[in-house]
Amino acid sequence: MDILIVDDSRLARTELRHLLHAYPHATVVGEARHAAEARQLLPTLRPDVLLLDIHMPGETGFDLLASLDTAPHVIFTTAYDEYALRAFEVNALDYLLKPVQEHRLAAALAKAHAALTPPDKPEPEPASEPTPTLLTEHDQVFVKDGERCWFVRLADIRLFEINGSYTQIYFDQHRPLIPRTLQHLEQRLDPRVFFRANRQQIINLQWIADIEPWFSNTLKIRLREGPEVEVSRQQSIKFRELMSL
Amino acid sequence: MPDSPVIARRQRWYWILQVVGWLFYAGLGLLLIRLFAMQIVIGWHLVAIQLAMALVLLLTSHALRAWIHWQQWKQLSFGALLWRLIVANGVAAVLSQAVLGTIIAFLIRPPASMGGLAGSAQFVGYILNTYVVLWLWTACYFGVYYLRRYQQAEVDRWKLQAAAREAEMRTLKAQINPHFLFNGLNNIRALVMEDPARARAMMTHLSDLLRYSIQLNGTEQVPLARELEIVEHYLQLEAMQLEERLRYTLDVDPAALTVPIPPMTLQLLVENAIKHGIAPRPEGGCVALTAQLAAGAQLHVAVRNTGHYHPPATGHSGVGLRNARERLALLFGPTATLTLTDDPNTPNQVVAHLRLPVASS
Repeated sequence: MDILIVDDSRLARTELRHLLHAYPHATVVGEARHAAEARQLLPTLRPDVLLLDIHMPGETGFDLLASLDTAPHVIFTTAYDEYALRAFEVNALDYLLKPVQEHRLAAALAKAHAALTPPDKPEPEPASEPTPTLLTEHDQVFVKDGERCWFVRLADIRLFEINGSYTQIYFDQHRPLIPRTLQHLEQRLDPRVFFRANRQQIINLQWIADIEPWFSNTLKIRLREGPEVEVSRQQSIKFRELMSL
Repeated sequence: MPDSPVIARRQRWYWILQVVGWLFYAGLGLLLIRLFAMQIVIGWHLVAIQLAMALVLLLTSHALRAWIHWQQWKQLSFGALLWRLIVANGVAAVLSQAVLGTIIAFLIRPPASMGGLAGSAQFVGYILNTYVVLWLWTACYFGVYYLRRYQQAEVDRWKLQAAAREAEMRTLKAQINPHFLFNGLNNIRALVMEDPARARAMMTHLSDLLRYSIQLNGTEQVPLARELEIVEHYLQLEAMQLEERLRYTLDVDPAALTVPIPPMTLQLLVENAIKHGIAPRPEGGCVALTAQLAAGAQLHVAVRNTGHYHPPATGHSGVGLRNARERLALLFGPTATLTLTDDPNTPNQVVAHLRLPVASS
């Protein structure tokens, strides 16, 4: 399990490294002093787990996560931020209070380990595909909407919809905005699961409830728990092809 | 009833005023007779009548007072009191004139040359006169009572304000930021392995800082020198977190070291300088504290830090500074000021100015 430590205090990083010595399967692959540095290191180090401080110079830990296309497994480390962590209503999320207690760290690492071991098959197939960074439904994104935060598995997102230069995502009963264009997301999302229905929307094929023919050879798709989506003429052809396969 | 010294003093004053007042009234009567009824010769009969009248009225008013106490008329509303006094004064006037008339008729027995005993019309006139005099007496009596009650309420209000102020000071007192505390402890934990001697020093800094913030209540003041020790501790601890990102200087006029200031005030200014100026900048910055005695018996402290001043967004932020201002206003009134601005002389620098009056001792 590769770990990247992100904390502005050198002593705090030293302390975490020291604590992690006790866990042979945990390897600290790098340290970052702030969000920008972490963002720089992430693509090359590709850590499994981020030990992330919340308060750092410049951007906060939340800002860092919100700027990432896909959020790694995160264990927050913080001195006194229970109020900030309370913003996470939906997901169980792990955080450690500094100074870190050994048994809390052990529990957090065990949880991360369980989450990282895929239930079906081991996934790492490094750089064998032409687009190795394609986001699959197992990936999660970090979403911060005002004071509220979520880690959302892409599998749980029914619909992506243009909203200005942002994208609105639909999951459960929530519809927060994420600061990315639909164009950008289309390029990153796995086309086997996520389908561009029209200029405004991308749907998750696994959430389709039923499909009915609509005017002038188009389709209308109703999503489970979600809105109805009209598929454009051009995309309807594509969709039929996709489904007949 | 508890016989406190206050009550004993009031009793003494009551009797002094009663005796002097009624004797004065009797004397006034004689004077008026002398001035406006010169055909009447002032002999011992007349003096005796006046003295008897003074005595009767003194006893009557005293009885009235006892009645007022017994019936607890002081608790009554003004309206309820008024009609009771109309009746009570009337009864008292009639009774006192009856007693006085009896005394004059049987004991003093004035000669016929003085007009002899009063006729019934004259007697009614005396009663009316006494009625007016008793009204004056009750007016004075309740006047004094209401004045005293008003003053007592005033004192109570002051006491309440003082108590409220102290409670307020307690809540306004700057607290150690828990974020700072736990980060400090975490850093010391790492330092124990890296540099045990420095870890021990940091423990001492933290202890003194904690003791200082816990022990002092909001109303006490401390010498500037002591507050500066705390600021030093604080900076040392922050330097452990920020390392080379924090640079600081303290420049204090030795003459200012004994000036009493509210505790944790400079600490707050330095903490704000680090929190808003240094900590958010990846490259860090500089904090400079200067303190000197200024003209007009003033202590002037300036804390400068790298950065730009962002006025607190409406709402939650700026609590520390606002509390400090309120605390200063409570302690010194408008003579103490605390301002925070971009330094007009140096770009990319924020300066906090604190000015306090120096008490002349």
